[in-house]
Amino acid sequence: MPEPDAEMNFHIAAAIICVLLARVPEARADGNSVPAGIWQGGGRACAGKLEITQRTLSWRTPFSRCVGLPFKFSEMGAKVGIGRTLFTFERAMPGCLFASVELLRKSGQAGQAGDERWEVIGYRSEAERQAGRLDDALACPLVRIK
Amino acid sequence: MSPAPPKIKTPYEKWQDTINLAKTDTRWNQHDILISATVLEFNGRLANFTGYRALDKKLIKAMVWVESGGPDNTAWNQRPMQIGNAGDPGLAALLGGKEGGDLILSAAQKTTLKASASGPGPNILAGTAYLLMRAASYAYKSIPDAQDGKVYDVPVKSGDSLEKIAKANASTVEMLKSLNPTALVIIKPGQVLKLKKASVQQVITGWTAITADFAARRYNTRDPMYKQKVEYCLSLMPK
Repeated sequence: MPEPDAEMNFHIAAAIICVLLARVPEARADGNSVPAGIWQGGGRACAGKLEITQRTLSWRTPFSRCVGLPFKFSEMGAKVGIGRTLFTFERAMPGCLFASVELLRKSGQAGQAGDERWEVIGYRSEAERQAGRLDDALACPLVRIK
Repeated sequence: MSPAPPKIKTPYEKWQDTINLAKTDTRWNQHDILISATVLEFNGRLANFTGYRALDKKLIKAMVWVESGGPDNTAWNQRPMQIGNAGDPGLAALLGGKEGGDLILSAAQKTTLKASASGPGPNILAGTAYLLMRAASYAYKSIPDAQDGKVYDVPVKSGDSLEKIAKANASTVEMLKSLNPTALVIIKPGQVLKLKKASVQQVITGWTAITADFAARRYNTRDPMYKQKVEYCLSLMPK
Protein backbone atom coordinates (compact mmCIF):
# COMPACT_ATOMS: atom_id res chain seq x y z
CA MET A 1 0.00 0.00 0.00
CA PRO A 2 1.48 3.42 -0.91
CA GLU A 3 2.39 5.92 1.77
CA PRO A 4 -0.27 8.69 2.23
CA ASP A 5 2.18 11.35 0.91
CA ALA A 6 3.04 9.24 -2.14
CA GLU A 7 -0.65 8.70 -2.86
CA MET A 8 -1.29 12.45 -2.63
CA ASN A 9 1.63 13.13 -4.98
CA PHE A 10 0.28 10.55 -7.41
CA HIS A 11 -3.13 12.28 -7.49
CA ILE A 12 -1.58 15.73 -7.93
CA ALA A 13 0.59 14.47 -10.79
CA ALA A 14 -2.42 12.82 -12.44
CA ALA A 15 -4.40 16.04 -12.15
CA ILE A 16 -1.56 18.07 -13.68
CA ILE A 17 -1.26 15.62 -16.59
CA CYS A 18 -5.03 15.83 -17.20
CA VAL A 19 -4.91 19.66 -17.27
CA LEU A 20 -1.92 19.63 -19.63
CA LEU A 21 -3.56 17.12 -21.97
CA ALA A 22 -6.68 19.27 -22.14
CA ARG A 23 -4.58 22.27 -23.26
CA VAL A 24 -2.44 20.58 -25.87
CA PRO A 25 -3.88 20.74 -29.41
CA GLU A 26 -5.26 17.36 -30.23
CA ALA A 27 -2.74 15.49 -32.33
CA ARG A 28 -4.44 13.35 -34.93
CA ALA A 29 -3.26 10.18 -36.54
CA ASP A 30 -1.79 12.16 -39.42
CA GLY A 31 0.13 14.38 -37.01
CA ASN A 32 -1.95 17.48 -37.73
CA SER A 33 -3.59 19.58 -35.06
CA VAL A 34 -6.87 21.46 -35.23
CA PRO A 35 -6.30 25.07 -36.33
CA ALA A 36 -8.25 26.57 -33.44
CA GLY A 37 -9.09 30.26 -33.46
CA ILE A 38 -11.74 32.92 -33.99
CA TRP A 39 -12.48 34.61 -37.30
CA GLN A 40 -14.86 37.39 -38.31
CA GLY A 41 -16.91 37.60 -41.51
CA GLY A 42 -18.61 40.68 -42.87
CA GLY A 43 -20.77 40.15 -45.99
CA ARG A 44 -24.57 40.23 -46.26
CA ALA A 45 -24.72 36.47 -45.68
CA CYS A 46 -21.39 36.25 -43.85
CA ALA A 47 -21.41 38.82 -41.04
CA GLY A 48 -20.67 36.92 -37.87
CA LYS A 49 -18.08 34.68 -36.27
CA LEU A 50 -16.38 31.38 -36.88
CA GLU A 51 -14.99 29.83 -33.70
CA ILE A 52 -12.99 26.62 -33.79
CA THR A 53 -11.84 24.86 -30.65
CA GLN A 54 -10.12 21.50 -30.33
CA ARG A 55 -13.45 19.72 -30.19
CA THR A 56 -16.22 21.93 -31.57
CA LEU A 57 -16.95 24.42 -34.31
CA SER A 58 -19.42 27.31 -34.15
CA TRP A 59 -20.27 29.41 -37.22
CA ARG A 60 -22.84 32.11 -36.73
CA THR A 61 -24.02 34.02 -39.80
CA PRO A 62 -27.22 36.00 -40.51
CA PHE A 63 -29.02 33.05 -42.12
CA SER A 64 -27.46 30.03 -40.41
CA ARG A 65 -26.43 29.17 -36.86
CA CYS A 66 -24.12 26.25 -36.21
CA VAL A 67 -23.15 26.24 -32.54
CA GLY A 68 -20.79 23.95 -30.65
CA LEU A 69 -20.87 21.15 -33.20
CA PRO A 70 -18.37 18.31 -32.83
CA PHE A 71 -16.51 17.51 -36.02
CA LYS A 72 -14.22 15.16 -37.84
CA PHE A 73 -11.24 17.05 -39.13
CA SER A 74 -8.84 16.48 -41.99
CA GLU A 75 -6.20 18.42 -43.82
CA MET A 76 -6.95 18.59 -47.51
CA GLY A 77 -4.20 18.61 -50.09
CA ALA A 78 -2.81 22.15 -50.23
CA LYS A 79 -2.51 24.08 -53.47
CA VAL A 80 0.35 26.54 -53.81
CA GLY A 81 -0.17 29.20 -51.17
CA ILE A 82 -3.51 27.80 -49.98
CA GLY A 83 -3.96 25.50 -46.99
CA ARG A 84 -7.31 23.72 -46.72
CA THR A 85 -8.83 22.12 -43.65
CA LEU A 86 -12.12 20.28 -43.71
CA PHE A 87 -14.45 20.01 -40.73
CA THR A 88 -17.28 17.53 -41.18
CA PHE A 89 -19.96 17.87 -38.53
CA GLU A 90 -20.70 14.72 -36.57
CA ARG A 91 -24.32 15.68 -36.18
CA ALA A 92 -26.87 18.05 -37.69
CA MET A 93 -28.41 20.99 -35.84
CA PRO A 94 -31.71 22.78 -36.51
CA GLY A 95 -30.91 26.18 -38.01
CA CYS A 96 -27.47 25.08 -39.17
CA LEU A 97 -27.54 24.84 -42.95
CA PHE A 98 -24.24 23.08 -43.45
CA ALA A 99 -22.93 19.53 -43.23
CA SER A 100 -19.27 20.48 -43.51
CA VAL A 101 -17.07 23.54 -43.43
CA GLU A 102 -13.83 24.10 -45.28
CA LEU A 103 -11.34 26.63 -43.91
CA LEU A 104 -8.86 28.07 -46.39
CA ARG A 105 -5.69 29.90 -45.44
CA LYS A 106 -4.13 31.91 -48.22
CA SER A 107 -0.65 33.21 -47.76
CA GLY A 108 0.95 35.85 -49.93
CA GLN A 109 4.53 36.97 -49.88
CA ALA A 110 5.82 37.30 -46.32
CA GLY A 111 5.47 40.78 -44.92
CA GLN A 112 3.16 41.94 -47.70
CA ALA A 113 -0.06 43.70 -46.83
CA GLY A 114 -2.90 41.23 -46.77
CA ASP A 115 -0.35 38.48 -46.14
CA GLU A 116 -2.70 36.30 -44.12
CA ARG A 117 -6.09 35.87 -45.73
CA TRP A 118 -8.78 33.40 -44.78
CA GLU A 119 -11.95 32.09 -46.31
CA VAL A 120 -14.61 29.65 -45.15
CA ILE A 121 -16.91 27.62 -47.37
CA GLY A 122 -19.96 25.88 -45.95
CA TYR A 123 -21.36 22.91 -47.90
CA ARG A 124 -24.94 21.72 -47.54
CA SER A 125 -23.98 18.09 -48.09
CA GLU A 126 -20.95 15.87 -48.40
CA ALA A 127 -22.00 14.96 -51.95
CA GLU A 128 -21.97 18.63 -52.98
CA ARG A 129 -18.56 19.16 -51.44
CA GLN A 130 -17.07 16.13 -53.11
CA ALA A 131 -18.52 17.20 -56.44
CA GLY A 132 -17.12 20.72 -55.91
CA ARG A 133 -20.61 22.18 -56.40
CA LEU A 134 -20.83 25.70 -55.06
CA ASP A 135 -24.43 26.54 -56.07
CA ASP A 136 -25.73 26.04 -52.53
CA ALA A 137 -22.47 26.62 -50.72
CA LEU A 138 -21.77 29.75 -48.69
CA ALA A 139 -18.30 31.19 -49.29
CA CYS A 140 -17.19 33.96 -46.94
CA PRO A 141 -13.99 35.98 -46.68
CA LEU A 142 -12.73 36.12 -43.10
CA VAL A 143 -10.40 38.10 -40.86
CA ARG A 144 -8.70 36.24 -38.04
CA ILE A 145 -9.24 37.94 -34.71
CA LYS A 146 -7.75 35.37 -32.34
CA MET B 1 16.85 50.67 -26.59
CA SER B 2 14.81 47.71 -27.81
CA PRO B 3 12.50 48.32 -30.76
CA ALA B 4 8.80 48.85 -30.01
CA PRO B 5 6.76 45.66 -30.35
CA PRO B 6 4.71 45.52 -33.55
CA LYS B 7 1.26 47.05 -33.16
CA ILE B 8 -1.53 44.50 -33.04
CA LYS B 9 -3.94 45.25 -35.87
CA THR B 10 -7.66 45.53 -35.32
CA PRO B 11 -9.95 43.33 -37.44
CA TYR B 12 -10.85 46.43 -39.46
CA GLU B 13 -7.16 47.16 -40.13
CA LYS B 14 -6.62 43.55 -41.22
CA TRP B 15 -9.64 43.88 -43.52
CA GLN B 16 -8.13 47.10 -44.92
CA ASP B 17 -4.88 45.23 -45.65
CA THR B 18 -6.78 42.93 -47.99
CA ILE B 19 -8.73 45.74 -49.64
CA ASN B 20 -5.50 47.69 -50.14
CA LEU B 21 -4.42 44.98 -52.60
CA ALA B 22 -6.89 46.64 -55.01
CA LYS B 23 -4.45 49.55 -55.35
CA THR B 24 -2.05 47.44 -57.38
CA ASP B 25 -3.98 44.33 -58.46
CA THR B 26 -6.05 45.06 -61.57
CA ARG B 27 -8.15 41.91 -61.06
CA TRP B 28 -10.19 43.94 -58.58
CA ASN B 29 -11.57 45.79 -61.65
CA GLN B 30 -12.65 42.58 -63.45
CA HIS B 31 -16.36 43.20 -62.86
CA ASP B 32 -16.32 46.86 -63.94
CA ILE B 33 -17.99 46.24 -67.31
CA LEU B 34 -20.74 44.13 -65.74
CA ILE B 35 -21.35 46.70 -63.03
CA SER B 36 -21.43 49.59 -65.52
CA ALA B 37 -23.85 47.79 -67.84
CA THR B 38 -26.16 46.82 -64.97
CA VAL B 39 -26.23 50.29 -63.43
CA LEU B 40 -26.66 51.95 -66.84
CA GLU B 41 -29.67 49.75 -67.62
CA PHE B 42 -31.39 50.54 -64.32
CA ASN B 43 -30.59 54.24 -64.50
CA GLY B 44 -32.05 54.36 -68.02
CA ARG B 45 -35.25 52.54 -67.19
CA LEU B 46 -35.95 54.07 -63.78
CA ALA B 47 -35.11 57.66 -64.79
CA ASN B 48 -38.78 58.26 -65.64
CA PHE B 49 -39.87 57.73 -62.04
CA THR B 50 -40.28 60.99 -60.14
CA GLY B 51 -37.50 61.55 -57.65
CA TYR B 52 -35.20 58.82 -58.98
CA ARG B 53 -31.55 59.68 -58.46
CA ALA B 54 -29.05 57.95 -60.72
CA LEU B 55 -27.27 55.09 -58.97
CA ASP B 56 -23.48 55.45 -58.73
CA LYS B 57 -21.68 52.46 -60.25
CA LYS B 58 -18.77 53.02 -57.88
CA LEU B 59 -21.04 52.31 -54.92
CA ILE B 60 -21.94 48.92 -56.42
CA LYS B 61 -18.27 48.23 -57.09
CA ALA B 62 -17.43 49.11 -53.48
CA MET B 63 -20.18 46.79 -52.25
CA VAL B 64 -18.81 43.98 -54.44
CA TRP B 65 -15.39 44.48 -52.85
CA VAL B 66 -16.81 44.42 -49.32
CA GLU B 67 -19.20 41.53 -49.89
CA SER B 68 -16.81 39.24 -51.78
CA GLY B 69 -13.49 40.24 -50.22
CA GLY B 70 -11.86 40.48 -53.64
CA PRO B 71 -10.79 38.27 -56.53
CA ASP B 72 -8.94 35.66 -54.45
CA ASN B 73 -12.20 34.56 -52.84
CA THR B 74 -14.76 32.07 -54.09
CA ALA B 75 -17.58 34.60 -53.74
CA TRP B 76 -15.95 36.89 -56.33
CA ASN B 77 -17.06 34.58 -59.12
CA GLN B 78 -19.90 32.78 -57.37
CA ARG B 79 -21.97 35.46 -55.61
CA PRO B 80 -20.01 38.72 -55.53
CA MET B 81 -22.89 40.62 -53.88
CA GLN B 82 -23.68 37.72 -51.52
CA ILE B 83 -27.38 37.68 -52.35
CA GLY B 84 -29.14 34.38 -53.07
CA ASN B 85 -27.24 32.32 -50.52
CA ALA B 86 -29.04 29.53 -48.70
CA GLY B 87 -31.42 30.91 -46.09
CA ASP B 88 -31.27 34.50 -47.40
CA PRO B 89 -34.84 35.74 -48.02
CA GLY B 90 -33.61 38.67 -50.16
CA LEU B 91 -33.78 37.01 -53.56
CA ALA B 92 -37.24 35.56 -52.88
CA ALA B 93 -38.40 39.05 -51.83
CA LEU B 94 -37.05 40.49 -55.08
CA LEU B 95 -38.68 37.86 -57.28
CA GLY B 96 -41.85 37.30 -55.25
CA GLY B 97 -43.78 40.18 -56.79
CA LYS B 98 -45.08 41.57 -53.48
CA GLU B 99 -42.32 43.90 -52.35
CA GLY B 100 -41.82 45.98 -55.49
CA GLY B 101 -39.29 43.85 -57.38
CA ASP B 102 -41.52 43.71 -60.45
CA LEU B 103 -41.35 47.50 -60.73
CA ILE B 104 -37.54 47.43 -60.60
CA LEU B 105 -36.74 44.44 -62.80
CA SER B 106 -37.58 44.12 -66.48
CA ALA B 107 -39.30 40.89 -67.54
CA ALA B 108 -36.06 39.69 -69.12
CA GLN B 109 -34.05 40.41 -65.97
CA LYS B 110 -36.59 38.55 -63.85
CA THR B 111 -36.40 35.54 -66.16
CA THR B 112 -32.60 35.56 -65.86
CA LEU B 113 -32.71 35.66 -62.06
CA LYS B 114 -35.40 32.99 -61.80
CA ALA B 115 -33.04 30.66 -63.66
CA SER B 116 -30.08 31.46 -61.39
CA ALA B 117 -28.61 34.30 -59.38
CA SER B 118 -25.17 32.72 -59.25
CA GLY B 119 -22.23 33.98 -61.26
CA PRO B 120 -20.96 37.56 -61.42
CA GLY B 121 -23.53 38.91 -63.94
CA PRO B 122 -26.72 37.56 -62.36
CA ASN B 123 -25.55 38.16 -58.81
CA ILE B 124 -24.57 41.78 -59.43
CA LEU B 125 -27.93 42.22 -61.19
CA ALA B 126 -29.78 40.70 -58.22
CA GLY B 127 -27.87 42.69 -55.61
CA THR B 128 -28.31 45.98 -57.45
CA ALA B 129 -32.03 45.32 -58.05
CA TYR B 130 -32.54 44.41 -54.39
CA LEU B 131 -30.86 47.63 -53.30
CA LEU B 132 -33.08 49.65 -55.67
CA MET B 133 -36.18 47.80 -54.51
CA ARG B 134 -35.40 48.81 -50.93
CA ALA B 135 -34.71 52.42 -51.98
CA ALA B 136 -38.16 52.89 -53.52
CA SER B 137 -41.31 53.75 -51.58
CA TYR B 138 -44.56 52.24 -52.70
CA ALA B 139 -48.31 52.75 -52.56
CA TYR B 140 -51.31 50.99 -54.05
CA LYS B 141 -53.21 53.20 -56.49
CA SER B 142 -56.07 52.94 -58.95
CA ILE B 143 -54.54 52.91 -62.40
CA PRO B 144 -56.69 53.37 -65.55
CA ASP B 145 -56.56 50.51 -68.04
CA ALA B 146 -53.98 51.45 -70.66
CA GLN B 147 -55.74 49.42 -73.37
CA ASP B 148 -59.30 50.60 -72.78
CA GLY B 149 -59.78 54.30 -72.08
CA LYS B 150 -63.49 54.39 -72.93
CA VAL B 151 -66.07 55.82 -70.50
CA TYR B 152 -68.99 53.43 -69.96
CA ASP B 153 -72.48 54.16 -68.64
CA VAL B 154 -73.43 51.59 -65.98
CA PRO B 155 -77.00 51.49 -64.61
CA VAL B 156 -77.29 50.81 -60.88
CA LYS B 157 -79.34 47.73 -60.00
CA SER B 158 -81.07 46.88 -56.76
CA GLY B 159 -78.54 45.65 -54.16
CA ASP B 160 -75.54 47.24 -55.93
CA SER B 161 -72.68 48.93 -54.11
CA LEU B 162 -69.70 50.80 -55.54
CA GLU B 163 -67.50 47.80 -54.69
CA LYS B 164 -69.86 45.41 -56.48
CA ILE B 165 -70.13 47.58 -59.58
CA ALA B 166 -66.35 48.13 -59.71
CA LYS B 167 -65.63 44.40 -59.38
CA ALA B 168 -68.24 43.40 -61.99
CA ASN B 169 -66.88 45.88 -64.53
CA ALA B 170 -63.09 45.50 -64.09
CA SER B 171 -62.75 48.88 -62.43
CA THR B 172 -62.06 50.31 -58.98
CA VAL B 173 -64.06 52.20 -56.36
CA GLU B 174 -61.55 55.06 -56.65
CA MET B 175 -62.22 55.32 -60.39
CA LEU B 176 -66.02 55.32 -59.82
CA LYS B 177 -65.71 58.02 -57.17
CA SER B 178 -63.53 60.20 -59.38
CA LEU B 179 -65.96 59.96 -62.34
CA ASN B 180 -69.13 60.29 -60.25
CA PRO B 181 -68.38 62.85 -57.53
CA THR B 182 -72.08 63.44 -56.80
CA ALA B 183 -72.83 59.74 -56.24
CA LEU B 184 -70.42 59.28 -53.38
CA VAL B 185 -72.81 58.85 -50.46
CA ILE B 186 -75.84 56.93 -51.72
CA ILE B 187 -76.45 55.15 -55.00
CA LYS B 188 -79.97 54.26 -56.09
CA PRO B 189 -81.34 51.71 -58.55
CA GLY B 190 -81.91 53.32 -61.95
CA GLN B 191 -79.07 55.79 -61.46
CA VAL B 192 -76.43 55.70 -64.24
CA LEU B 193 -72.77 55.86 -63.23
CA LYS B 194 -69.80 56.75 -65.42
CA LEU B 195 -67.11 54.04 -65.38
CA LYS B 196 -63.63 53.53 -66.84
CA LYS B 197 -61.77 50.27 -66.54
CA ALA B 198 -59.00 50.34 -63.95
CA SER B 199 -57.13 48.19 -61.45
CA VAL B 200 -55.37 48.70 -58.13
CA GLN B 201 -51.64 48.38 -58.65
CA GLN B 202 -48.46 48.87 -56.66
CA VAL B 203 -46.65 52.01 -57.81
CA ILE B 204 -43.45 53.76 -56.86
CA THR B 205 -44.08 57.02 -55.06
CA GLY B 206 -40.55 58.11 -54.16
CA TRP B 207 -36.91 57.21 -53.70
CA THR B 208 -34.33 57.30 -50.95
CA ALA B 209 -30.83 58.27 -52.06
CA ILE B 210 -28.61 55.20 -52.28
CA THR B 211 -25.44 55.84 -50.29
CA ALA B 212 -23.02 53.78 -48.20
CA ASP B 213 -25.18 54.60 -45.19
CA PHE B 214 -28.33 53.40 -46.97
CA ALA B 215 -26.59 50.16 -48.02
CA ALA B 216 -25.60 49.57 -44.40
CA ARG B 217 -29.17 50.09 -43.24
CA ARG B 218 -31.00 48.16 -45.98
CA TYR B 219 -28.58 45.75 -47.68
CA ASN B 220 -26.15 44.51 -45.04
CA THR B 221 -27.61 45.20 -41.64
CA ARG B 222 -25.49 42.78 -39.60
CA ASP B 223 -22.00 44.20 -40.14
CA PRO B 224 -21.57 47.21 -37.80
CA MET B 225 -18.61 48.41 -39.90
CA TYR B 226 -20.35 48.10 -43.28
CA LYS B 227 -20.75 51.83 -43.95
CA GLN B 228 -17.10 52.52 -43.07
CA LYS B 229 -15.97 49.61 -45.22
CA VAL B 230 -17.93 50.74 -48.28
CA GLU B 231 -16.67 54.31 -47.80
CA TYR B 232 -13.10 53.05 -47.48
CA CYS B 233 -13.43 51.14 -50.76
CA LEU B 234 -14.86 54.25 -52.43
CA SER B 235 -11.88 56.25 -51.18
CA LEU B 236 -9.52 53.92 -53.07
CA MET B 237 -11.28 54.45 -56.41
CA PRO B 238 -10.24 57.21 -58.81
CA LYS B 239 -12.45 60.31 -58.55
